[in-house]
Amino acid sequence: MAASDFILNVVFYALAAAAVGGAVAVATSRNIVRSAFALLAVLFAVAALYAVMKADFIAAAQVLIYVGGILVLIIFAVMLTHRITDVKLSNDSTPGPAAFCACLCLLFSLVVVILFTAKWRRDSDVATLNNKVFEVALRQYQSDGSTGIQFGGTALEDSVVVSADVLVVPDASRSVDQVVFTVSAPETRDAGGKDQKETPEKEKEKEPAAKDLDDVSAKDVQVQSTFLPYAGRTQTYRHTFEKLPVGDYHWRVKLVGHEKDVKGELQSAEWTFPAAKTDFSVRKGVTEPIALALAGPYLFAFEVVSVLLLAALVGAAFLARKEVKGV
Amino acid sequence: MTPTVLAAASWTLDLTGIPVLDAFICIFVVCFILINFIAVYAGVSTYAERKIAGHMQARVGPYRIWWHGFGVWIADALKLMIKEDIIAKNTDHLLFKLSPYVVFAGSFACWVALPFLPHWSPASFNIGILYLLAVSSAVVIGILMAGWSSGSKWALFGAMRSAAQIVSYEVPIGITLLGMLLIYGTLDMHAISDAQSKGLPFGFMDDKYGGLWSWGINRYPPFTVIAFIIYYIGALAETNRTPFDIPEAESELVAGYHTEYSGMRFSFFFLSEYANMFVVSAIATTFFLGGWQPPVPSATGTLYLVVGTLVGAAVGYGIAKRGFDAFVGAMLGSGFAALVAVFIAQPAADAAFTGTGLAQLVGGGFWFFSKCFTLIFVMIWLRWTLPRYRVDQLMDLCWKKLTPLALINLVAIGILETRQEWMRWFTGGHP
Amino acid sequence: MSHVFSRNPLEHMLLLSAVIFCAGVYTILTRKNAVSILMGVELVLNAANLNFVAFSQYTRIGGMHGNVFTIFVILLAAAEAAVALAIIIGIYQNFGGVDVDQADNMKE
Repeated sequence: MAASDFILNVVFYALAAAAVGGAVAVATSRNIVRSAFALLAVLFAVAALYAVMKADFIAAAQVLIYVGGILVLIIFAVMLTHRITDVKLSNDSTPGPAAFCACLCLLFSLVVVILFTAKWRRDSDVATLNNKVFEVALRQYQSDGSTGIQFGGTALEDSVVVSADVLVVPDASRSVDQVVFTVSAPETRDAGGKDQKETPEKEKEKEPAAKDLDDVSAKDVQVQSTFLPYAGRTQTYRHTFEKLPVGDYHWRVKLVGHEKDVKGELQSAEWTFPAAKTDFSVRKGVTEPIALALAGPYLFAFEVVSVLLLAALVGAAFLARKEVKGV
Repeated sequence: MTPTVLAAASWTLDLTGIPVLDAFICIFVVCFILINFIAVYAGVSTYAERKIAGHMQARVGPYRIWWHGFGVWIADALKLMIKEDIIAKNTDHLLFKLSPYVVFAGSFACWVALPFLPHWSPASFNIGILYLLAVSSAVVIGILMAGWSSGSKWALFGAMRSAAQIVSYEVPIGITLLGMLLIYGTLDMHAISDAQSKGLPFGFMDDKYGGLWSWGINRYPPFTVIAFIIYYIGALAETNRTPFDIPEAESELVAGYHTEYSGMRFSFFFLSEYANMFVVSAIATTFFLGGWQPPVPSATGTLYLVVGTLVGAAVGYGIAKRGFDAFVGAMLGSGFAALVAVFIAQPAADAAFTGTGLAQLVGGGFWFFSKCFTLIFVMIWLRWTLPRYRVDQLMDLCWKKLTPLALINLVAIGILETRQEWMRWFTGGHP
Repeated sequence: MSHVFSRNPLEHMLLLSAVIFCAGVYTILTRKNAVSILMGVELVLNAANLNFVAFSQYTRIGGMHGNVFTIFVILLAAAEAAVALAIIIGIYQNFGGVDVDQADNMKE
């Protein structure tokens, strides 16, 4: 695995452990103040997970609003609704088996849907390419470029990963040895010129397949992923493009391999796919697209939410006023 | 846009063969340098505070250890480190021990995003200012944690007052920064500092290097100056400095949320207060005072500036023979000289001021730190000049005076910005 | 090897959000303190937000809709928490406690 993959995995599992641990502490702690500070851990971990997903604006908004506003409110409410002289505030719960079993069943059903339902996964593939022989599901990870975080000159995560799931139509006469990913030059907003599309195309052609296969050759492929038990044999090929600049890209995939012809001899063959909608964009963070969406299709919702926030402000201020007790 | 000089510092990336390890070594080295700098800065800042307090009160302050008492902060740091660690019985031990670190983590996480050198900060974000505002919320939670786990009423009251004060003053701060963001159009701190190198007030002549006349505070003069003042008052309240130091006031609450803390734990709160002061000064410098930009756009312009300041001071002094008039004269003279320098002494070549060599790095760092330390000096000055606000006066100031003023300011800056757009449209798309 | 996060980021995020969601539901079901129940609601909302952003960032379904919806959910959670806590403080002032089992004046 590439180095940036390793860091990414370690970071994700650490944050996931913090989030789950915090959530369990909120659910089961016997001290309400401790469960409030465990909620702090969950909120920060979730914000960091947003940053891992390259939604940097949402991460900052989460910390600003949830931690800086809602959690402070919750802690104030905890302190205002108890006698404040004891440090160990009890937080009773009625942990009957019914609630626990209900939650387990809920978790089980969610896990089953996530892992074993193929329809959304097929719909969520970024592009599906078909020719008569193969079907390729093209996915792109970390597709929005970097979050723009650099430490003293190194960029921790600045790569784009393209993976192609090749679904082999059950037919033992074909094998794929190489997958060629070609990315066209970015149409950046300030760069111009059609000539840019020609030359970088050849520079960016990569042939990654043999290195990414974990020492398994194409002929010996079984079902690659146990998360995908639907019919057909799939093989996942991945390649990491490092440091793509901001822009719009168009991907193409070509499969190179061997085919048995009518005489039973292996011939080398290439399979290309008809043009499909495989355009992806690399942007620096998610702030600008959200702003464009809020000022565009979501303008009315934005205004309505602002009126609703005003109503909540007035309502909360009114509800929390001190009652002047009658005589 | 890493400066070429610092690109040479990427030798750390090839230290070991493993990119993961290189990245971690790089991060560790940068954070190590930063934490040491914060510790030394906080220590020297306490010394500076006591000296300035002394001289403003017509006495000398610390005097006996080393030259003019300079060793006092080292003695204080040693004393705090070797003190006995007392934890009261009625405290929540885990939260009590955790809260100084939460408060310090909130302040330190802000330091990594500050634009210290031209186009370099320890970690550069494209959501710079939003990240800074967000991570400062950790400080509030840490204060509440500290006050609660101390197990004493006074600590809890101090913590709640302090948290309420910080959270309230984030509103006018946010609104003023929002007004400035309308002008700059980006959240990135480096891009904001870059945008303050050209142009004169009200957006005229966007292609000239304006020196101090193109800083944020001079962009739409009445409104951005008001924005700076509102931001600065809010920043004083954010860091619990006088006149807003009710949570730490000895005559009121002993020491507020850090009453029960002693020794090294107390020094963390202390460190994070001074670290916070630097952070809010750095944000003010980046948004209003041009970040690392020099006050005049060229070397000969600096000569003009010096001459103008001296002439202005002399004229001011000559009028009424008072230091105050000399000061006003110096201000007017330097402003006039800087304006003249804009038209007469533009930089000879772009490279002199937009280059990426060592001289630009050092110069930019010098200007950034000078401006920050000037603002910190003003904070210290205000502490020993003004009496303390009562809690209800403090809240009244925030909600009834600063927030409406900040909102009106925001609307005014917005109107002026759209007028900018109209002007550009009339003058045929001049950028 | 698709059990690793970097190979299947979407599934991992969805599983994580499912776990947090269930912890939140458990909190809502079992706690007696009204503020704790509110904390459970916040957990549920965060889990849903994680889900939205994961779909928006790791797939191409719907473009930016997931991110924008998350922003709206964060805003509305703030409004809802403010009003809910104001009500809880009102209940405390009237009943002397925030135990939801004891706030049953409107029963039968």
